[in-house]
Amino acid sequence: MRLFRIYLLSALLHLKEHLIYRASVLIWLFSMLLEPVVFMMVWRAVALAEGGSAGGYTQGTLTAYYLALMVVNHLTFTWIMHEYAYRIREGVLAGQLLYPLHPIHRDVTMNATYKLLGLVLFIPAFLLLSVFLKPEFQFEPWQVLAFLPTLALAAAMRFLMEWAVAQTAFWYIETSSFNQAYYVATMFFSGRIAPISMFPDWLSAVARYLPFWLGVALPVETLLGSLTPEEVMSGMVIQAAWLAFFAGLVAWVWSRAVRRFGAVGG
Amino acid sequence: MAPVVEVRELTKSFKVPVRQSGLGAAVKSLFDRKFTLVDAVKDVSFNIDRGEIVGFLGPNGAGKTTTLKMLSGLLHPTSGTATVNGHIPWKRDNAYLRTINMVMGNRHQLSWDLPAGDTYKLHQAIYQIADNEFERTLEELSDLLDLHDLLTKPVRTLSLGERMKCELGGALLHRPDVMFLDEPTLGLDVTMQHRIRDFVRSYNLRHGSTILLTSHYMADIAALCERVVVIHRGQLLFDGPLAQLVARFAPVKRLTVELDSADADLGDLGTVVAHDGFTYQLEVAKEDTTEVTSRLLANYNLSDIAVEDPPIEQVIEQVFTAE
Ligand SMILES: Nc1ncnc2c1ncn2[C@@H]1O[C@H](COP(=O)(O)OP(=O)(O)O)[C@@H](O)[C@H]1O
Ligand SMILES: [Mg+2]
Repeated sequence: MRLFRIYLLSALLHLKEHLIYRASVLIWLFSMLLEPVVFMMVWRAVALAEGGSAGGYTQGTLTAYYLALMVVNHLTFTWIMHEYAYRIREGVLAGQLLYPLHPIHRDVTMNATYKLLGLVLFIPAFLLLSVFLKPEFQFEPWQVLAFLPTLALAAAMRFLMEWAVAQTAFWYIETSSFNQAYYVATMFFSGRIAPISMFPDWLSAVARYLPFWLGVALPVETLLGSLTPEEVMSGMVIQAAWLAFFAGLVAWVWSRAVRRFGAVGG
Repeated sequence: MAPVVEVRELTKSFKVPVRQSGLGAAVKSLFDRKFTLVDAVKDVSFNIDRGEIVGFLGPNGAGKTTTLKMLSGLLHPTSGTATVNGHIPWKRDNAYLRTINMVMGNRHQLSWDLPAGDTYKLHQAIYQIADNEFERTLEELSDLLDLHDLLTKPVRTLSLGERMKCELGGALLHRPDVMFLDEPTLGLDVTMQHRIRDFVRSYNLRHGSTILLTSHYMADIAALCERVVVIHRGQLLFDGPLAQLVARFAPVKRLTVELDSADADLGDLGTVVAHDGFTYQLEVAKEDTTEVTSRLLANYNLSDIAVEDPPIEQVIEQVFTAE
Protein backbone atom coordinates (compact mmCIF):
# COMPACT_ATOMS: atom_id res chain seq x y z
CA MET A 1 0.00 0.00 0.00
CA ARG A 2 2.77 2.39 0.96
CA LEU A 3 4.80 1.35 -2.07
CA PHE A 4 1.75 1.70 -4.31
CA ARG A 5 1.27 5.29 -3.19
CA ILE A 6 4.94 6.04 -3.66
CA TYR A 7 4.88 4.52 -7.16
CA LEU A 8 1.81 6.48 -8.16
CA LEU A 9 3.12 9.79 -6.87
CA SER A 10 6.60 9.38 -8.21
CA ALA A 11 5.21 8.25 -11.58
CA LEU A 12 3.27 11.50 -11.75
CA LEU A 13 6.30 13.53 -10.82
CA HIS A 14 8.56 11.76 -13.30
CA LEU A 15 6.00 12.28 -16.01
CA LYS A 16 6.06 15.95 -15.18
CA GLU A 17 9.85 15.96 -15.35
CA HIS A 18 9.92 14.16 -18.69
CA LEU A 19 7.41 16.64 -20.06
CA ILE A 20 9.58 19.56 -19.04
CA TYR A 21 12.27 18.07 -21.24
CA ARG A 22 9.87 17.04 -23.97
CA ALA A 23 12.08 18.38 -26.75
CA SER A 24 15.13 16.35 -25.76
CA VAL A 25 12.96 13.37 -24.84
CA LEU A 26 11.53 13.50 -28.34
CA ILE A 27 14.97 13.60 -29.93
CA TRP A 28 16.08 10.69 -27.76
CA LEU A 29 13.03 8.69 -28.72
CA PHE A 30 13.60 9.42 -32.39
CA SER A 31 17.15 8.18 -32.25
CA MET A 32 15.91 5.02 -30.51
CA LEU A 33 13.41 4.62 -33.29
CA LEU A 34 15.94 5.13 -36.03
CA GLU A 35 18.19 2.19 -35.19
CA PRO A 36 15.71 -0.64 -35.97
CA VAL A 37 14.44 1.25 -39.00
CA VAL A 38 17.96 1.50 -40.41
CA PHE A 39 18.67 -2.22 -39.86
CA MET A 40 15.29 -3.05 -41.36
CA MET A 41 16.14 -1.10 -44.51
CA VAL A 42 19.53 -2.77 -44.78
CA TRP A 43 18.09 -6.27 -44.46
CA ARG A 44 15.24 -5.52 -46.84
CA ALA A 45 17.80 -4.47 -49.44
CA VAL A 46 19.81 -7.63 -48.82
CA ALA A 47 16.69 -9.79 -49.18
CA LEU A 48 15.81 -8.02 -52.41
CA ALA A 49 19.32 -8.54 -53.79
CA GLU A 50 19.23 -12.22 -52.87
CA GLY A 51 16.04 -12.81 -54.79
CA GLY A 52 13.41 -12.05 -52.17
CA SER A 53 14.66 -13.63 -48.95
CA ALA A 54 17.60 -13.53 -46.55
CA GLY A 55 18.24 -16.13 -43.85
CA GLY A 56 14.73 -17.48 -44.17
CA TYR A 57 13.12 -14.04 -43.85
CA THR A 58 11.22 -12.35 -46.69
CA GLN A 59 11.07 -8.57 -47.03
CA GLY A 60 7.65 -8.68 -45.40
CA THR A 61 8.68 -10.82 -42.43
CA LEU A 62 11.87 -8.82 -41.94
CA THR A 63 9.77 -5.68 -41.76
CA ALA A 64 7.45 -7.32 -39.25
CA TYR A 65 10.45 -8.47 -37.19
CA TYR A 66 12.00 -5.01 -36.99
CA LEU A 67 8.75 -3.14 -36.40
CA ALA A 68 7.93 -5.42 -33.50
CA LEU A 69 11.51 -5.19 -32.25
CA MET A 70 11.35 -1.40 -32.38
CA VAL A 71 8.46 -1.36 -29.92
CA VAL A 72 9.75 -4.20 -27.73
CA ASN A 73 13.25 -2.76 -27.43
CA HIS A 74 11.75 0.57 -26.44
CA LEU A 75 9.72 -1.16 -23.75
CA THR A 76 12.61 -3.14 -22.25
CA PHE A 77 15.67 -0.88 -22.54
CA THR A 78 17.04 1.18 -19.64
CA TRP A 79 19.56 4.02 -19.48
CA ILE A 80 20.43 3.78 -15.78
CA MET A 81 24.02 2.67 -16.31
CA HIS A 82 24.83 5.75 -18.35
CA GLU A 83 23.60 7.99 -15.61
CA TYR A 84 24.87 6.23 -12.54
CA ALA A 85 28.35 7.70 -12.23
CA TYR A 86 26.80 11.14 -12.53
CA ARG A 87 24.31 10.35 -9.78
CA ILE A 88 27.07 9.26 -7.44
CA ARG A 89 29.17 12.31 -8.22
CA GLU A 90 26.44 14.91 -7.97
CA GLY A 91 25.03 13.83 -4.62
CA VAL A 92 21.76 12.59 -6.08
CA LEU A 93 22.41 9.11 -4.75
CA ALA A 94 23.36 10.44 -1.32
CA GLY A 95 19.95 12.08 -1.16
CA GLN A 96 18.30 8.82 -2.17
CA LEU A 97 20.27 6.89 0.42
CA LEU A 98 18.83 8.94 3.25
CA TYR A 99 15.32 7.79 2.44
CA PRO A 100 13.95 4.70 4.14
CA LEU A 101 13.42 3.31 0.64
CA HIS A 102 15.57 1.30 -1.75
CA PRO A 103 16.72 3.60 -4.58
CA ILE A 104 15.75 1.01 -7.18
CA HIS A 105 12.10 2.00 -6.77
CA ARG A 106 12.80 5.42 -8.17
CA ASP A 107 14.23 3.85 -11.30
CA VAL A 108 11.22 1.60 -11.69
CA THR A 109 8.84 4.52 -11.92
CA MET A 110 11.19 6.76 -13.85
CA ASN A 111 11.64 4.01 -16.39
CA ALA A 112 7.98 3.06 -16.58
CA THR A 113 6.78 6.61 -17.15
CA TYR A 114 9.37 7.17 -19.85
CA LYS A 115 8.19 4.03 -21.64
CA LEU A 116 4.60 5.13 -21.40
CA LEU A 117 5.42 8.52 -22.79
CA GLY A 118 7.48 6.95 -25.56
CA LEU A 119 4.53 4.91 -26.77
CA VAL A 120 2.94 8.17 -27.83
CA LEU A 121 5.63 8.26 -30.51
CA PHE A 122 6.26 4.55 -31.05
CA ILE A 123 2.67 3.46 -31.68
CA PRO A 124 1.99 6.03 -34.42
CA ALA A 125 5.43 5.29 -35.89
CA PHE A 126 4.60 1.58 -35.88
CA LEU A 127 1.25 2.14 -37.58
CA LEU A 128 2.61 4.58 -40.12
CA LEU A 129 5.55 2.37 -41.10
CA SER A 130 3.17 -0.60 -41.28
CA VAL A 131 1.00 1.20 -43.81
CA PHE A 132 3.94 2.01 -46.07
CA LEU A 133 6.19 -1.02 -45.68
CA LYS A 134 3.61 -3.79 -45.52
CA PRO A 135 4.94 -6.10 -42.81
CA GLU A 136 3.76 -9.69 -42.92
CA PHE A 137 2.32 -10.45 -39.52
CA GLN A 138 0.55 -13.73 -39.05
CA PHE A 139 -1.09 -13.50 -35.67
CA GLU A 140 -2.20 -16.76 -34.12
CA PRO A 141 -4.11 -16.10 -30.90
CA TRP A 142 -1.64 -18.13 -28.82
CA GLN A 143 1.24 -16.04 -30.14
CA VAL A 144 -0.38 -12.81 -28.98
CA LEU A 145 -1.28 -14.41 -25.67
CA ALA A 146 2.25 -15.69 -25.09
CA PHE A 147 3.77 -12.40 -26.21
CA LEU A 148 2.55 -10.51 -23.14
CA PRO A 149 4.19 -12.66 -20.45
CA THR A 150 7.42 -12.95 -22.47
CA LEU A 151 7.45 -9.16 -22.78
CA ALA A 152 6.80 -8.66 -19.07
CA LEU A 153 9.53 -11.14 -18.15
CA ALA A 154 11.90 -9.54 -20.66
CA ALA A 155 11.33 -6.06 -19.24
CA ALA A 156 11.73 -7.14 -15.62
CA MET A 157 14.79 -9.28 -16.34
CA ARG A 158 16.55 -6.65 -18.43
CA PHE A 159 15.79 -3.94 -15.88
CA LEU A 160 17.38 -5.91 -13.05
CA MET A 161 20.33 -6.95 -15.21
CA GLU A 162 21.09 -3.39 -16.26
CA TRP A 163 20.53 -2.07 -12.76
CA ALA A 164 23.12 -4.54 -11.50
CA VAL A 165 25.49 -3.54 -14.31
CA ALA A 166 25.02 0.12 -13.38
CA GLN A 167 26.42 -0.62 -9.91
CA THR A 168 29.87 -1.17 -11.43
CA ALA A 169 30.13 2.61 -11.26
CA PHE A 170 31.04 2.09 -7.61
CA TRP A 171 34.15 0.11 -8.55
CA TYR A 172 35.31 1.48 -11.87
CA ILE A 173 35.76 5.13 -12.51
CA GLU A 174 36.08 4.30 -16.20
CA THR A 175 32.48 3.09 -16.48
CA SER A 176 32.01 4.23 -20.06
CA SER A 177 34.28 1.49 -21.43
CA PHE A 178 32.44 -1.12 -19.39
CA ASN A 179 29.10 0.21 -20.58
CA GLN A 180 30.41 0.19 -24.12
CA ALA A 181 31.36 -3.48 -23.85
CA TYR A 182 27.91 -4.24 -22.49
CA TYR A 183 26.37 -2.31 -25.36
CA VAL A 184 28.31 -4.28 -27.98
CA ALA A 185 27.31 -7.59 -26.42
CA THR A 186 23.65 -6.64 -26.22
CA MET A 187 23.66 -5.21 -29.74
CA PHE A 188 25.03 -8.43 -31.18
CA PHE A 189 23.19 -11.05 -29.16
CA SER A 190 19.80 -9.38 -28.75
CA GLY A 191 18.82 -9.73 -32.37
CA ARG A 192 19.02 -6.02 -33.07
CA ILE A 193 21.74 -6.23 -35.73
CA ALA A 194 20.15 -9.27 -37.30
CA PRO A 195 17.68 -11.97 -36.32
CA ILE A 196 19.84 -14.59 -34.62
CA SER A 197 18.54 -17.30 -36.94
CA MET A 198 20.92 -15.74 -39.46
CA PHE A 199 23.87 -16.63 -37.19
CA PRO A 200 25.67 -19.96 -37.53
CA ASP A 201 23.59 -22.64 -35.81
CA TRP A 202 25.86 -23.10 -32.83
CA LEU A 203 25.96 -19.34 -32.16
CA SER A 204 22.24 -18.86 -32.37
CA ALA A 205 21.78 -21.87 -30.09
CA VAL A 206 24.04 -20.18 -27.53
CA ALA A 207 22.33 -16.81 -27.95
CA ARG A 208 18.98 -18.29 -27.01
CA TYR A 209 20.27 -18.87 -23.50
CA LEU A 210 21.63 -15.36 -23.07
CA PRO A 211 19.70 -12.57 -21.37
CA PHE A 212 20.31 -10.26 -24.33
CA TRP A 213 18.19 -12.27 -26.72
CA LEU A 214 15.70 -13.14 -23.99
CA GLY A 215 15.31 -9.46 -23.14
CA VAL A 216 14.45 -8.29 -26.66
CA ALA A 217 14.03 -10.85 -29.42
CA LEU A 218 12.19 -13.61 -27.57
CA PRO A 219 8.96 -11.59 -27.27
CA VAL A 220 9.40 -10.41 -30.87
CA GLU A 221 9.85 -13.90 -32.28
CA THR A 222 7.02 -15.18 -30.11
CA LEU A 223 4.69 -12.62 -31.62
CA LEU A 224 5.86 -13.35 -35.16
CA GLY A 225 5.38 -17.07 -34.78
CA SER A 226 8.91 -18.02 -35.71
CA LEU A 227 9.16 -20.08 -32.54
CA THR A 228 7.30 -23.26 -31.64
CA PRO A 229 5.15 -23.23 -28.49
CA GLU A 230 7.78 -25.49 -26.87
CA GLU A 231 10.53 -23.03 -27.72
CA VAL A 232 8.50 -20.16 -26.26
CA MET A 233 7.82 -22.14 -23.11
CA SER A 234 11.44 -23.03 -22.57
CA GLY A 235 12.38 -19.41 -23.36
CA MET A 236 10.08 -18.24 -20.59
CA VAL A 237 11.56 -20.72 -18.16
CA ILE A 238 15.07 -19.43 -18.95
CA GLN A 239 13.83 -15.84 -18.64
CA ALA A 240 12.40 -16.64 -15.22
CA ALA A 241 15.66 -18.28 -14.19
CA TRP A 242 17.66 -15.21 -15.26
CA LEU A 243 15.13 -12.96 -13.54
CA ALA A 244 15.66 -14.80 -10.28
CA PHE A 245 19.41 -14.72 -10.79
CA PHE A 246 19.48 -10.96 -11.46
CA ALA A 247 17.20 -10.26 -8.52
CA GLY A 248 19.72 -12.06 -6.34
CA LEU A 249 22.59 -10.28 -8.06
CA VAL A 250 21.01 -6.88 -7.47
CA ALA A 251 20.59 -7.64 -3.78
CA TRP A 252 24.13 -8.94 -3.50
CA VAL A 253 25.79 -6.17 -5.51
CA TRP A 254 23.77 -3.46 -3.82
CA SER A 255 24.73 -4.57 -0.33
CA ARG A 256 28.37 -4.25 -1.38
CA ALA A 257 27.91 -1.12 -3.43
CA VAL A 258 26.35 0.75 -0.55
CA ARG A 259 29.40 -0.09 1.57
CA ARG A 260 31.61 1.44 -1.07
CA PHE A 261 29.48 4.49 -1.49
CA GLY A 262 31.41 6.84 0.76
CA ALA A 263 34.69 5.74 -0.72
CA VAL A 264 33.89 7.00 -4.18
CA GLY A 265 32.01 10.20 -3.67
CA GLY A 266 28.83 11.86 -2.55
CA MET B 1 18.64 9.05 30.38
CA ALA B 2 20.83 7.32 27.84
CA PRO B 3 22.50 9.56 25.27
CA VAL B 4 20.87 9.73 21.83
CA VAL B 5 24.17 9.59 20.05
CA GLU B 6 26.98 7.42 21.34
CA VAL B 7 30.19 7.31 19.37
CA ARG B 8 33.07 5.06 20.46
CA GLU B 9 36.50 5.08 18.87
CA LEU B 10 35.01 5.68 15.47
CA THR B 11 37.62 5.39 12.74
CA LYS B 12 37.48 5.71 8.99
CA SER B 13 40.46 5.32 6.72
CA PHE B 14 40.24 5.87 2.99
CA LYS B 15 42.41 4.02 0.55
CA VAL B 16 43.73 6.57 -1.86
CA PRO B 17 45.91 5.83 -4.89
CA VAL B 18 49.36 7.37 -4.82
CA ARG B 19 50.08 9.26 -7.99
CA GLN B 20 53.67 9.21 -9.04
CA SER B 21 55.04 11.63 -11.56
CA GLY B 22 56.79 10.63 -14.73
CA LEU B 23 55.80 8.40 -17.59
CA GLY B 24 57.63 5.36 -16.28
CA ALA B 25 55.82 5.59 -12.96
CA ALA B 26 52.50 6.10 -14.72
CA VAL B 27 52.98 2.95 -16.80
CA LYS B 28 54.12 1.02 -13.78
CA SER B 29 51.12 2.16 -11.78
CA LEU B 30 48.84 0.59 -14.38
CA PHE B 31 49.97 -2.80 -13.17
CA ASP B 32 50.97 -2.12 -9.62
CA ARG B 33 48.87 0.63 -8.13
CA LYS B 34 50.15 1.98 -4.87
CA PHE B 35 47.74 3.02 -2.17
CA THR B 36 48.08 4.86 1.07
CA LEU B 37 45.61 4.93 3.89
CA VAL B 38 44.30 8.32 4.90
CA ASP B 39 42.82 8.41 8.39
CA ALA B 40 39.90 10.75 7.87
CA VAL B 41 38.51 10.02 11.34
CA LYS B 42 40.54 8.40 14.06
CA ASP B 43 39.33 7.06 17.41
CA VAL B 44 36.67 9.68 17.89
CA SER B 45 34.34 9.24 20.86
CA PHE B 46 31.55 11.44 22.16
CA ASN B 47 27.96 11.35 23.42
CA ILE B 48 25.08 13.65 22.68
CA ASP B 49 22.00 13.92 24.87
CA ARG B 50 18.49 14.38 23.62
CA GLY B 51 17.72 17.95 22.65
CA GLU B 52 21.30 19.16 22.51
CA ILE B 53 22.67 21.27 19.69
CA VAL B 54 26.31 20.38 19.34
CA GLY B 55 28.71 22.27 17.12
CA PHE B 56 31.16 20.15 15.24
CA LEU B 57 34.21 22.24 14.62
CA GLY B 58 37.37 21.73 12.63
CA PRO B 59 39.28 23.10 9.66
CA ASN B 60 38.76 21.80 6.14
CA GLY B 61 39.56 18.14 5.88
CA ALA B 62 39.32 17.56 9.64
CA GLY B 63 36.86 14.70 9.21
CA LYS B 64 33.56 16.41 10.05
CA THR B 65 31.67 15.35 6.95
CA THR B 66 33.07 11.84 7.16
CA THR B 67 31.81 11.52 10.74
CA LEU B 68 28.35 12.82 9.84
CA LYS B 69 28.14 10.46 6.88
CA MET B 70 28.86 7.51 9.16
CA LEU B 71 26.24 8.66 11.64
CA SER B 72 23.62 9.08 8.94
CA GLY B 73 24.30 5.65 7.48
CA LEU B 74 25.96 6.75 4.25
CA LEU B 75 29.35 5.38 5.16
CA HIS B 76 30.76 2.29 6.85
CA PRO B 77 33.43 2.94 9.44
CA THR B 78 36.75 1.12 9.32
CA SER B 79 36.45 0.41 13.04
CA GLY B 80 34.69 1.61 16.14
CA THR B 81 31.03 1.74 17.02
CA ALA B 82 28.20 4.20 17.10
CA THR B 83 24.58 4.06 18.06
CA VAL B 84 22.03 6.73 17.30
CA ASN B 85 18.51 6.35 18.67
CA GLY B 86 19.53 2.82 19.60
CA HIS B 87 20.41 1.88 16.01
CA ILE B 88 23.71 1.22 14.34
CA PRO B 89 23.52 3.82 11.58
CA TRP B 90 25.35 1.96 8.80
CA LYS B 91 23.00 -0.99 9.07
CA ARG B 92 20.60 1.41 7.41
CA ASP B 93 17.43 -0.06 8.91
CA ASN B 94 14.40 1.74 7.57
CA ALA B 95 13.28 2.17 11.16
CA TYR B 96 16.46 4.15 11.74
CA LEU B 97 16.33 6.22 8.58
CA ARG B 98 12.81 7.31 9.48
CA THR B 99 14.01 9.02 12.63
CA ILE B 100 16.93 11.01 11.26
CA ASN B 101 17.99 13.14 8.37
CA MET B 102 21.03 14.94 7.13
CA VAL B 103 21.32 18.10 5.14
CA MET B 104 24.53 18.88 3.39
CA GLY B 105 25.50 21.41 0.79
CA ASN B 106 26.25 19.00 -2.02
CA ARG B 107 23.61 16.38 -1.64
CA HIS B 108 20.05 16.99 -2.62
CA GLN B 109 16.72 15.27 -2.37
CA LEU B 110 14.65 17.83 -4.21
CA SER B 111 14.09 17.32 -7.88
CA TRP B 112 15.88 20.05 -9.74
CA ASP B 113 13.12 20.57 -12.27
CA LEU B 114 10.04 20.37 -10.10
CA PRO B 115 8.75 22.77 -7.48
CA ALA B 116 9.85 21.73 -3.99
CA GLY B 117 6.20 21.31 -3.02
CA ASP B 118 5.95 18.37 -5.44
CA THR B 119 8.89 16.54 -3.93
CA TYR B 120 7.48 17.26 -0.46
CA LYS B 121 4.42 15.20 -1.44
CA LEU B 122 6.71 12.34 -2.34
CA HIS B 123 8.40 12.67 1.05
CA GLN B 124 4.98 12.42 2.63
CA ALA B 125 4.41 9.10 0.87
CA ILE B 126 7.90 7.76 1.59
CA TYR B 127 7.72 8.60 5.28
CA GLN B 128 4.02 7.76 5.52
CA ILE B 129 2.98 11.05 7.04
CA ALA B 130 -0.75 11.39 7.64
CA ASP B 131 -2.41 14.18 5.66
CA ASN B 132 -3.35 16.41 8.58
CA GLU B 133 0.05 16.02 10.18
CA PHE B 134 1.72 16.78 6.87
CA GLU B 135 -0.32 19.94 6.46
CA ARG B 136 0.46 21.04 9.98
CA THR B 137 4.20 20.43 9.66
CA LEU B 138 4.34 22.05 6.25
CA GLU B 139 2.55 25.11 7.58
CA GLU B 140 4.92 25.39 10.49
CA LEU B 141 8.05 24.93 8.39
CA SER B 142 6.78 27.37 5.79
CA ASP B 143 6.32 29.98 8.49
CA LEU B 144 9.64 29.40 10.15
CA LEU B 145 11.60 29.32 6.91
CA ASP B 146 9.41 31.71 4.94
CA LEU B 147 8.85 29.16 2.20
CA HIS B 148 5.36 30.09 1.05
CA ASP B 149 6.31 31.61 -2.29
CA LEU B 150 9.17 29.25 -2.96
CA LEU B 151 7.34 25.94 -2.92
CA THR B 152 5.61 26.41 -6.24
CA LYS B 153 8.66 27.44 -8.25
CA PRO B 154 10.95 24.91 -9.92
CA VAL B 155 13.95 24.39 -7.65
CA ARG B 156 16.25 25.18 -10.56
CA THR B 157 15.02 28.78 -10.55
CA LEU B 158 15.75 29.42 -6.85
CA SER B 159 18.82 31.09 -5.41
CA LEU B 160 21.32 29.03 -3.44
CA GLY B 161 19.90 30.24 -0.13
CA GLU B 162 16.30 29.65 -1.16
CA ARG B 163 17.21 26.17 -2.31
CA MET B 164 18.89 25.43 1.01
CA LYS B 165 15.77 26.56 2.85
CA CYS B 166 13.63 24.26 0.70
CA GLU B 167 16.02 21.35 1.27
CA LEU B 168 15.89 21.99 5.02
CA GLY B 169 12.11 22.12 4.95
CA GLY B 170 11.91 18.88 3.00
CA ALA B 171 14.37 17.18 5.29
CA LEU B 172 12.25 17.99 8.34
CA LEU B 173 8.81 17.02 7.07
CA HIS B 174 8.93 13.69 8.85
CA ARG B 175 10.09 15.42 12.05
CA PRO B 176 13.36 13.56 12.49
CA ASP B 177 14.46 13.65 16.09
CA VAL B 178 18.11 13.61 15.15
CA MET B 179 19.39 16.00 12.49
CA PHE B 180 22.84 16.18 11.01
CA LEU B 181 23.52 19.51 9.37
CA ASP B 182 26.71 19.73 7.36
CA GLU B 183 27.63 23.32 6.55
CA PRO B 184 24.03 24.41 6.13
CA THR B 185 25.07 28.04 5.73
CA LEU B 186 27.94 27.50 3.30
CA GLY B 187 27.99 30.09 0.56
CA LEU B 188 24.99 31.99 1.87
CA ASP B 189 24.89 35.72 2.47
CA VAL B 190 24.80 37.06 6.00
CA THR B 191 21.04 37.63 6.13
CA MET B 192 20.34 34.12 4.94
CA GLN B 193 22.89 32.74 7.41
CA HIS B 194 20.99 34.45 10.22
CA ARG B 195 17.71 33.14 8.93
CA ILE B 196 18.92 29.54 8.85
CA ARG B 197 20.53 29.94 12.25
CA ASP B 198 17.34 31.33 13.82
CA PHE B 199 15.41 28.52 12.24
CA VAL B 200 17.66 25.84 13.65
CA ARG B 201 17.41 27.36 17.10
CA SER B 202 13.65 27.69 17.15
CA TYR B 203 13.16 24.26 15.64
CA ASN B 204 15.31 22.75 18.35
CA LEU B 205 13.42 24.65 21.07
CA ARG B 206 10.02 23.63 19.76
CA HIS B 207 10.66 19.98 19.16
CA GLY B 208 13.59 19.14 21.36
CA SER B 209 15.33 17.54 18.42
CA THR B 210 18.96 16.66 18.72
CA ILE B 211 21.17 18.50 16.27
CA LEU B 212 24.78 17.97 15.30
CA LEU B 213 25.91 20.87 13.19
CA THR B 214 29.12 21.61 11.36
CA SER B 215 30.03 24.99 10.08
CA HIS B 216 33.20 26.79 9.51
CA TYR B 217 31.51 30.07 10.29
CA MET B 218 32.34 30.46 13.93
CA ALA B 219 29.36 32.79 14.28
CA ASP B 220 26.97 29.92 13.54
CA ILE B 221 28.50 27.79 16.24
CA ALA B 222 28.71 30.63 18.75
CA ALA B 223 25.07 31.55 18.19
CA LEU B 224 23.65 28.05 18.34
CA CYS B 225 25.80 25.71 20.35
CA GLU B 226 26.58 25.68 24.01
CA ARG B 227 28.74 22.71 23.45
CA VAL B 228 31.36 22.12 20.80
CA VAL B 229 33.27 19.07 19.68
CA VAL B 230 36.50 19.99 17.97
CA ILE B 231 38.30 17.62 15.66
CA HIS B 232 41.53 18.17 13.87
CA ARG B 233 43.14 15.74 11.44
CA GLY B 234 40.48 13.22 12.31
CA GLN B 235 41.17 13.31 16.04
CA LEU B 236 39.12 14.67 18.88
CA LEU B 237 40.78 17.72 20.33
CA PHE B 238 38.16 19.10 22.65
CA ASP B 239 34.66 18.38 23.84
CA GLY B 240 32.92 20.81 26.16
CA PRO B 241 31.27 24.21 26.57
CA LEU B 242 32.30 26.82 24.05
CA ALA B 243 33.53 29.18 26.77
CA GLN B 244 35.80 26.51 28.13
CA LEU B 245 37.30 25.95 24.70
CA VAL B 246 38.51 29.50 24.66
CA ALA B 247 39.82 29.35 28.19
CA ARG B 248 41.61 26.10 27.48
CA PHE B 249 43.20 26.96 24.21
CA ALA B 250 43.70 30.70 24.24
CA PRO B 251 47.29 31.22 25.35
CA VAL B 252 46.76 34.97 25.63
CA LYS B 253 44.43 37.56 27.14
CA ARG B 254 43.45 40.73 25.38
CA LEU B 255 43.75 43.98 27.36
CA THR B 256 41.98 47.08 26.15
CA VAL B 257 43.31 50.19 27.89
CA GLU B 258 42.63 53.87 27.61
CA LEU B 259 45.47 56.23 28.46
CA ASP B 260 45.91 59.98 28.54
CA SER B 261 48.51 59.80 25.82
CA ALA B 262 48.18 58.88 22.16
CA ASP B 263 51.81 57.91 21.65
CA ALA B 264 52.69 55.65 24.56
CA ASP B 265 55.02 52.77 23.76
CA LEU B 266 53.53 49.64 25.32
CA GLY B 267 55.68 47.30 23.25
CA ASP B 268 57.64 45.95 26.22
CA LEU B 269 54.44 44.91 28.04
CA GLY B 270 52.93 42.78 25.27
CA THR B 271 51.96 42.79 21.61
CA VAL B 272 50.02 45.85 20.54
CA VAL B 273 47.37 44.48 18.20
CA ALA B 274 45.43 47.71 17.75
CA HIS B 275 45.96 51.34 18.52
CA ASP B 276 43.45 54.07 17.88
CA GLY B 277 43.95 57.44 19.52
CA PHE B 278 44.04 56.92 23.27
CA THR B 279 42.83 53.34 23.05
CA TYR B 280 45.31 50.47 22.89
CA GLN B 281 44.77 46.76 22.55
CA LEU B 282 47.44 44.53 23.96
CA GLU B 283 47.84 40.80 23.87
CA VAL B 284 49.75 39.27 26.73
CA ALA B 285 50.48 35.73 27.76
CA LYS B 286 47.76 34.50 30.07
CA GLU B 287 50.09 33.98 33.05
CA ASP B 288 51.48 37.51 32.73
CA THR B 289 48.09 39.22 32.82
CA THR B 290 48.19 40.22 36.49
CA GLU B 291 51.73 41.48 36.32
CA VAL B 292 51.12 43.52 33.17
CA THR B 293 47.98 45.02 34.67
CA SER B 294 49.81 46.20 37.78
CA ARG B 295 52.66 47.61 35.71
CA LEU B 296 50.13 49.52 33.60
CA LEU B 297 48.48 50.88 36.73
CA ALA B 298 51.80 51.86 38.21
CA ASN B 299 53.37 53.52 35.20
CA TYR B 300 50.52 55.04 33.18
CA ASN B 301 47.53 57.24 33.68
CA LEU B 302 44.78 54.77 33.01
CA SER B 303 41.23 55.96 32.48
CA ASP B 304 39.88 52.49 31.59
CA ILE B 305 40.99 48.90 31.36
CA ALA B 306 39.22 45.71 30.20
CA VAL B 307 40.57 42.16 30.19
CA GLU B 308 38.99 39.75 27.73
CA ASP B 309 39.60 36.51 25.91
CA PRO B 310 40.63 36.98 22.30
CA PRO B 311 37.91 36.41 19.66
CA ILE B 312 36.89 32.77 19.26
CA GLU B 313 37.84 32.74 15.58
CA GLN B 314 41.34 33.66 16.48
CA VAL B 315 41.61 31.00 19.16
CA ILE B 316 40.31 28.36 16.83
CA GLU B 317 42.70 29.40 14.15
CA GLN B 318 45.60 29.19 16.56
CA VAL B 319 44.52 25.74 17.68
CA PHE B 320 44.34 24.52 14.11
CA THR B 321 47.57 25.99 12.90
CA ALA B 322 49.58 24.90 15.95
CA GLU B 323 51.37 21.62 15.50
N1 LIG C 1 35.93 9.48 -0.53
C1 LIG C 1 37.13 9.82 -0.05
N2 LIG C 1 38.25 9.23 -0.51
C2 LIG C 1 39.45 9.57 -0.03
N3 LIG C 1 39.66 10.49 0.92
C3 LIG C 1 38.59 11.13 1.42
C4 LIG C 1 37.27 10.83 0.96
N4 LIG C 1 36.40 11.61 1.65
C5 LIG C 1 37.13 12.36 2.48
N5 LIG C 1 38.45 12.07 2.35
C6 LIG C 1 39.55 12.68 3.13
O1 LIG C 1 39.27 12.56 4.49
C7 LIG C 1 39.61 13.74 5.19
C8 LIG C 1 38.40 14.28 5.92
O2 LIG C 1 37.46 14.78 4.99
P1 LIG C 1 36.08 15.43 5.42
O3 LIG C 1 35.41 14.53 6.39
O4 LIG C 1 35.34 15.76 4.19
O5 LIG C 1 36.54 16.75 6.16
P2 LIG C 1 35.70 18.03 6.60
O6 LIG C 1 34.27 17.78 6.36
O7 LIG C 1 36.02 18.21 8.04
O8 LIG C 1 36.21 19.16 5.79
C9 LIG C 1 40.21 14.66 4.17
O9 LIG C 1 41.59 14.52 4.22
C10 LIG C 1 39.66 14.15 2.87
O10 LIG C 1 40.54 14.43 1.83
MG1 LIG D 1 32.95 18.86 5.12
